[in-house]
Amino acid sequence: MRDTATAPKAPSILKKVYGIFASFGFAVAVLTLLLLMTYLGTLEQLEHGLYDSQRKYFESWFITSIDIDCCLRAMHIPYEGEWVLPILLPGGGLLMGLLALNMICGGITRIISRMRAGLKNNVRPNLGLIGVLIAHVSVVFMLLAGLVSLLAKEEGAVWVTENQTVDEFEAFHVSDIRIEKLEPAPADGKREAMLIPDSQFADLTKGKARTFYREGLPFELMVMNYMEHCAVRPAKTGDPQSMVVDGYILQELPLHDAEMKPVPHEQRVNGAYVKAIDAKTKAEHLGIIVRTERAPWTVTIGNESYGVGIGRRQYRLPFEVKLDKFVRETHPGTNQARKFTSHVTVIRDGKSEEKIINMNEPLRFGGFAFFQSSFDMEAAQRGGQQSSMFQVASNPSDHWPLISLIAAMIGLLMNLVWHLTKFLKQSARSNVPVAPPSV
Amino acid sequence: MPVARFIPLLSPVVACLLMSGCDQVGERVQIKETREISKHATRPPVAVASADRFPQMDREAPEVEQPDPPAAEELFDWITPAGWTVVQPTGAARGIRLLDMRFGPNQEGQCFLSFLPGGGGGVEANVNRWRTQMGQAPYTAEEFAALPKKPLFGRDASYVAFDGDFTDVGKSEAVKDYRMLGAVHADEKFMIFVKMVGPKALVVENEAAFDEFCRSLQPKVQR
Repeated sequence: MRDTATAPKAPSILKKVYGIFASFGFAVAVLTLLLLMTYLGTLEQLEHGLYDSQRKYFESWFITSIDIDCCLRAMHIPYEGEWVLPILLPGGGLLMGLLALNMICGGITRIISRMRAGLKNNVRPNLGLIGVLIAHVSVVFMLLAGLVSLLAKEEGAVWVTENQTVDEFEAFHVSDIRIEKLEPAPADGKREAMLIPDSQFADLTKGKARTFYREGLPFELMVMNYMEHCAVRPAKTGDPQSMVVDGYILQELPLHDAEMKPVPHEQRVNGAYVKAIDAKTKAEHLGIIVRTERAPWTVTIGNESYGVGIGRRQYRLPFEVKLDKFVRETHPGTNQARKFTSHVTVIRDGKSEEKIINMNEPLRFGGFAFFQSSFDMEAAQRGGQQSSMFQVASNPSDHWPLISLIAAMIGLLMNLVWHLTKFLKQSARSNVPVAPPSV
Repeated sequence: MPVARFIPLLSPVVACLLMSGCDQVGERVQIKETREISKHATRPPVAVASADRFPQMDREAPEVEQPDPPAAEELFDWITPAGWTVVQPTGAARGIRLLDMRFGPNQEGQCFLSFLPGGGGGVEANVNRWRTQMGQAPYTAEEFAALPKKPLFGRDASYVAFDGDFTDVGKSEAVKDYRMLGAVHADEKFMIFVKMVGPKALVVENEAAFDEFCRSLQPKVQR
């Protein structure tokens, strides 16, 4: 008869699940999938562009399709036509979350098992164990840096002309539709824009429409036929009359050039048809808004005029930057730029500080980094007032990956030193067999 | 906008016609986000003319090369009613009519099939534009809602029929005593319609043929 008292107790479902998440095999599976995502994302980047590939493979929870034909062409395998494979795979965001979970669970498991072994054999936690734990925490910290960057990073650019002051910059990829009351102008001089983020209208392609309203706004704004890349052109015979506004039409443009290279996302010109519907009379006013327009579309309701426009999202800086002087140095006897430098004044809380931004020396101030990105070549050549373009980035976790890498290196080094010391000590005792390492 | 521009769309449309309709996005959303505009930002001018608002067209809006429009035979099957003839659309019609037919002793009756991508502005707006062409007042919301339905590509299409003085697109003078029939269906991806117009007596004589033609229209199954 079996002694049930000594029979091992079957682990609960929760323990089993925890065991899977904490296992080395799970880490291998996640890392393999991450490798696959990286590979596929790199291949699709060739025809879909960096921004779209990143969003699909690395900034997603799930991947629902693989563009096989594009991947084949990227691998120099000639394939004409389309071949999209519907599939459900975990996206980069989910995989990195799972990897973080694996690292946390694995770390906890290791602490518990080593503590138990230590208590059993009366051995205190050693340098090796502490090192491994530091390495685990470092990797989790690195993944956390990625998450913070994804959620909080702001990137963009700003053009500044000499003697001009700016306190905001324009995003590279994020757009919005803004509505501003233009007339009568606000008495206090404070201008305010009502914003519709692109997450609320980017899906309104091919005739889809959505109506936006706000308390106090004398009209509702219907946004329809959004185009990710388009241009305005004069209407021609044959154009559907319903699409013609004031003699112009919004024409969708291909997302690839003649050589099938994708138009970079930041260079795409988005636009849409908009319809302002008078809240009282229900009278409709149809308009076109496009990112390259020189002035917003004006809607006049009663004695009030509003400007409606579309553009890249503006991010506010907690300080002002004034371009004092732009200096461009050229290689002797040529027109080729050797160095270009922006002399700026940063103004915060009434205090001014003079700073210099050049190609290899970004300005880091108030949590923002300003990189010298471009300049007005025409103005630089003809003299007169110069313009400079700064790439601006704000990322709270900017230095976290570096910190985590250093910490991981220290942790692994501690573990190595401990094992090496142990090995050398055991080797010194020739009559004692060498214990295998237990990392 | 010529039909040719939408060749890539036409196959999905045919496929879509074979399936059930897609969801119409039409909800209302409150604007919740606001932003204080920088005091350094330039104040935009008010009521700028379109010609001044948009960039220089010739230089900045290159024409996209248009392929030839697809033949209707490649996309659809249909039965041409007796006495009707298929013609090649010309002028403005070339960009809009997928299939163009004439009937009557002097070929003065027209019946054509059109496809407009992106919903074409909606059924009600288009039907009321047709009413205007016939010198009629637009339908009220109640009248529009009460319109009968007829089958078109296996879907319910709003059916309209009205008489009046017809002013064709691009024409300044109306021709008197005409009749117009139409069957129109739209969703968020496209609008497709069959429209017949001609002298009243001739159209009345061909109403059964119109129904027969609409019923016979079938998308070609993609292989």
